Amino acid sequence: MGRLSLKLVVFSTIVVLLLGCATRERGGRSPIGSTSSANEALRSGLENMKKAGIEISLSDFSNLSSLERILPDPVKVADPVVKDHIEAAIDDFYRVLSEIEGLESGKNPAPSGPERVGSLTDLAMVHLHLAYLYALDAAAELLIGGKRVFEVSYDPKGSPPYSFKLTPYGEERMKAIEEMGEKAEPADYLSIFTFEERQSLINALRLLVGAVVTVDPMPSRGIPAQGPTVDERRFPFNAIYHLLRAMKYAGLINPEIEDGIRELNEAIDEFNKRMEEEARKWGFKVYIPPLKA
Amino acid sequence: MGIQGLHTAFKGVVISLLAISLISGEAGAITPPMLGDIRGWGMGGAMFGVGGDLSSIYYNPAGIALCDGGLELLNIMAGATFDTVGEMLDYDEFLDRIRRIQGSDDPINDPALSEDRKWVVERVERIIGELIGVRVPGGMRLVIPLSLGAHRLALGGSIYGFLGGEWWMERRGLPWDDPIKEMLDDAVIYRVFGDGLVIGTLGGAIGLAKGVKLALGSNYKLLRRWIFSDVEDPFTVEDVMNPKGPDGIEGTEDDFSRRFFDPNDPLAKVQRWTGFGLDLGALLSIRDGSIQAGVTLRDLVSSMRSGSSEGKIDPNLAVGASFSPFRTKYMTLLMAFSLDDIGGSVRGGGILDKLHLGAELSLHSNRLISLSARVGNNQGFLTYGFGLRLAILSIGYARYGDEVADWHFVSASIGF
Repeated sequence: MGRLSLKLVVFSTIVVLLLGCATRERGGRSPIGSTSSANEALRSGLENMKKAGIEISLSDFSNLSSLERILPDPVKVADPVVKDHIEAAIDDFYRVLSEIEGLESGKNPAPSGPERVGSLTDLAMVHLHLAYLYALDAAAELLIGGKRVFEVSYDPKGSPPYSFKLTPYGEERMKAIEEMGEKAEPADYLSIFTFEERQSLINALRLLVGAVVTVDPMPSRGIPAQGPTVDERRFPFNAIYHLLRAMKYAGLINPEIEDGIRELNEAIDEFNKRMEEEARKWGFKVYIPPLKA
Repeated sequence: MGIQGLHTAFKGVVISLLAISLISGEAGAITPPMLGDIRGWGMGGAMFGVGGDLSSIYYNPAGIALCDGGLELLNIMAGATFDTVGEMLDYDEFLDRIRRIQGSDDPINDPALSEDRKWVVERVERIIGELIGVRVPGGMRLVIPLSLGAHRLALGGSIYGFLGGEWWMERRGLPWDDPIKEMLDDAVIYRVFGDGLVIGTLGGAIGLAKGVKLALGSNYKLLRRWIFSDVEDPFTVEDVMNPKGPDGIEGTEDDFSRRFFDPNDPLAKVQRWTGFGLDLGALLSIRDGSIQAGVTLRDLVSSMRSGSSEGKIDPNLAVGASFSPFRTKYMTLLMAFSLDDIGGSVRGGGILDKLHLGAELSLHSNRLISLSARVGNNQGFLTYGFGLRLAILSIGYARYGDEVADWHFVSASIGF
């Protein structure tokens, strides 16, 4: 009986020691349809958005069909540190896009099979995030450089939730110029703004819609030539471009998601038009290249 | 038939196997049938070195030559993964919420359904990493022993059916931190299959010395298989949301119904395979069966055909041994180990992926009543179970872990 007990103990020990040694691969320990560099870039991008306090949370499917609701109060972004996080996130999402752009450049937007990297959802979401980040970067540009003459106000129930308007000081100055009637010149308007305010407006329109906004030099009024100073290599596109791309891919998934992005697009576009109109009126030269999406 | 007859029979088997292997040629590999029973699963599949009962037909055909014979008229087994059992607990609530969402005119935006939508999203999130699966094996088995003096010839056979269905979800694409963004491109993978086998078994045992026997055996299997699966090209949630496919045009090749399956006629995508396989086995029994060592070569020769496609099941070499350190009139203790897929052609992996350990303690007052408790380790996963025999009725349970999932199996059979 003693030998038997020993054998049982040895056998039981082997059985027990070997338990738990095995693992199951199901559940995707290694990413399927992605790459480690895309994953890392996405993680970094989302982290930067979180640091800026502007992460997009789709806690309910209904948020997909009313995306304009996700736009945050721009007060959150009126801080150079937050703006840095936004721009770092844009860099990250472009790195993600470069990893999955094989999907974009191919004839079929969503080739199947194990070689496929990314998905229609990924493409739609990356473009949506880029559009959102461009829009907030533009808002940050206006809020940091502006404030004295114009402001961006926010009403979460408004359509669009953002509105671009003059401050009481700006209105007073504009009113004085308008009272000059036909004698008023573009330089009169432009001189209301500081150099930084003009630059922020120029750059915001570039980031929002890709507009090339310039100011002709007027040495007699102390106004130098100005144009966009946005780094074209770092920010090659604009919010509307990315929204249209997001809409295109979302439309291939589901029309309701496409409608949700269209509403966000309309909200931002409405804001853009108001800015463009005002900018032209104030003596800025505005050229908007045709959009390709 | 004497010893000379046995030798002639074995020689004939070997020659026919060589001839068939020469004409089989190279072909695509097909998953082998899942042969097994409740005893084997409870013992971690460590059955390749265990002979002497009806299980031998599935694990080592040589073992039937050490069997006193038996007939199992009907053996029905049913299994489900642990995850399936867990999911069933709140399945009614899941269906209720889905029905409420489906019943709405605006299922995505209706604010009254917000909680239902969130609950369903969380529920689907929970399924990631789980496997919902059921398996229903069953059939009949028979072994007829023929004594030839000190030697023995045995004929056996089985009609075996196996129905299985599994589905699971896998993350695909970029790892978003938001469940809704993440879910849209998750892959939905399913595998529904059925195997029908007719197995003929021939075994013979030669007495080499007192208490020492060498048994040899072979299985001849006819296999019919039905399989319906998207493992190679799974559909995703976004595919379901867009039945017209990425081009957005109905009636083109990328439509959901053409790429995956037509919900109105899902069986049109079922693949049907027909073919055969041959197994060889050898078992050395020492000290009247207290120690056994065996080797099985499953599917040494096989050929499968589906329409114009041809394939074969890769051969699987397995060895095993068993030991009964304690065997009395009322109690038997059996300990066994096996290594299968030694060539790594079926599953690959390291030594632990091939190792099976098992033990069985049987209490029997007479031939009519017996109770067995089993424990084992199947490729690193825990197994255990029990069997109760009351005259012609047997019932059993096995908790079985394999590389796919952890399973509960129950069985009931009538046998003599």
